[in-house]
Amino acid sequence: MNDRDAAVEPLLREELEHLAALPQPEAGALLRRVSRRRRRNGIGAAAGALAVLAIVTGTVLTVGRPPARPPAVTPPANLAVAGVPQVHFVDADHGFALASSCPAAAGDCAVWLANTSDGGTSWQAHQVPGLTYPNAAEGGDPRVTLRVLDASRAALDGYDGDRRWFTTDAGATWTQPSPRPDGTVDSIPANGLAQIESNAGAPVGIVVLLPDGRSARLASPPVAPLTESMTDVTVGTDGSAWMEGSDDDRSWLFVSRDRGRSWNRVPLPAEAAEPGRPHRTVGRLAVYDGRTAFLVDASGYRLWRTKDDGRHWEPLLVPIAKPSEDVGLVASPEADGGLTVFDVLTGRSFTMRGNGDRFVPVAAEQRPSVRIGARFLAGSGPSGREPPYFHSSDRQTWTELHF
Amino acid sequence: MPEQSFDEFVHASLPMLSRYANALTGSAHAGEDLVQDTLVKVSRAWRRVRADGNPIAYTRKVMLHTYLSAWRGLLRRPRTVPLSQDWAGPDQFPLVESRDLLRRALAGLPPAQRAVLVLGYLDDLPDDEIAAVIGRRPATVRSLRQRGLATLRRHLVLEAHQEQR
Repeated sequence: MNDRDAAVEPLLREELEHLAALPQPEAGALLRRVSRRRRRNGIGAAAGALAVLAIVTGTVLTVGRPPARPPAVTPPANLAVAGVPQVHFVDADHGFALASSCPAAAGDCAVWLANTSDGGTSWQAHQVPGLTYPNAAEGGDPRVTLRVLDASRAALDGYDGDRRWFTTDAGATWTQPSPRPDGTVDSIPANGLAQIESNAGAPVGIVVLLPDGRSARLASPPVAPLTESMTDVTVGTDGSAWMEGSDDDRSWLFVSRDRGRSWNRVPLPAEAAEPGRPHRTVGRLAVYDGRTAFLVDASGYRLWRTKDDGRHWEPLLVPIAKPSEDVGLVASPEADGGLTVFDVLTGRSFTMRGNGDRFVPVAAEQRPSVRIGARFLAGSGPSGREPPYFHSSDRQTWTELHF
Repeated sequence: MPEQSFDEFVHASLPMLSRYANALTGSAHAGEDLVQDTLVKVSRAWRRVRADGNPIAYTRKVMLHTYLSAWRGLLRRPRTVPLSQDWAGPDQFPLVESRDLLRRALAGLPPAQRAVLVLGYLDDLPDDEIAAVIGRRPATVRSLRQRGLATLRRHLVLEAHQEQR
């Protein structure tokens, strides 16, 4: 504590005491409200049980009949991306995109899942039942995360962690399994998805989205207390799983090469430490093929590469000078283990092949883009993040994201 | 000793719970909501909580966790500012102004920082107890406090400079 803190502390104590002394609710009324809430929840649970019973009964009665697939619906003309684009391609042809249809005036926006099987040249779309959000003047957001498992399976997970919509037929029909993990799995299945579950002050869990739409905890996650929001599990094309994240004092990087059964700690380069925090790094991982990993210090315009799971980190000469503007370094890992970096201000880009050790300029001007699975996504405007959006398989020819 | 019922517990603990809730949320209405959400959770587990023998400590922990997790959701929603508490009559201006600045700065703090300040400065809890309540390490608690105080100080100094111009 320093002198300046000592000056703030009396004011803070006084203010907290003042706030703490605000009127308290009347105990009897509060108890009645608590009791009503509990009753309502109980009724909700009973209704849920009846609904499940009805569904089971319906399922039993319809066994033997072919499943009725809803007729194809013509998507509304105003179908568009809302908020940050959520698009993912499982291969060059098959992909999903989250879209919204909003009324011109006030009202609720409907959420649709669009899918393509021709590399985004044409899209089909299905409305997600029961998923709407208010049409805000400043732009609304569906408040769900699109998670794609394969060409026909996708989940939409609500931000609140309480709701999940799941489809196994590219959005034609939907179920709502619980997103809460139930049980454990020994490994991350081939078409499953893993994400970090932070536990304040305790080691993380890894929750796996299974191909049937349920979630389960991975039996043996790495031991690290990751509490920052920038925590992630990235899966390389070779099946390796990379887990990175930090708490207030430290950063960790782990890799698993047996689909999550065991994890090895990947040491991070000491030069990438945050000022004053020797165990916490400023960079983020960029990995695609799973053999080569890059640490990208976007604000410091520094890069490191490792090809042996962190035993050696090689600093790379970044071909772009750090600008005076507050623009971060944009880097995208390549399929051959290389990396492409973008100079957002000039539109130039530089690439380094997987077996190379220096960046060379790319002849044609490229849009700064991010990987969305097997394709790339680029935006427009000075920031490169505004609509209209474009996607590409090779970053040479671009197709507008249009439903 | 006869077992304490949930209603008796609420009557006995309400002043303490309201005190924390109001300091955490910064308003009586939000504080009341936080107390209510907390008690709904505690009531579901009351039999076990009572058997554990320390319902006050358990409830305080539930309240802290409810506050921390609810706040994450509120981050994505527009926040309302209680107008009646932001402006004051001219006769009390100097006093209200400094409180107003501090309250605005407090309202802008991340929840974990605010929780650490409330537990530390409202009840003078030591770092290890705060760490146990919010589920962080004592070193993290110290870091959160320092960052919280630094933000408050920065806010007050910045506002003072702007006033001087």
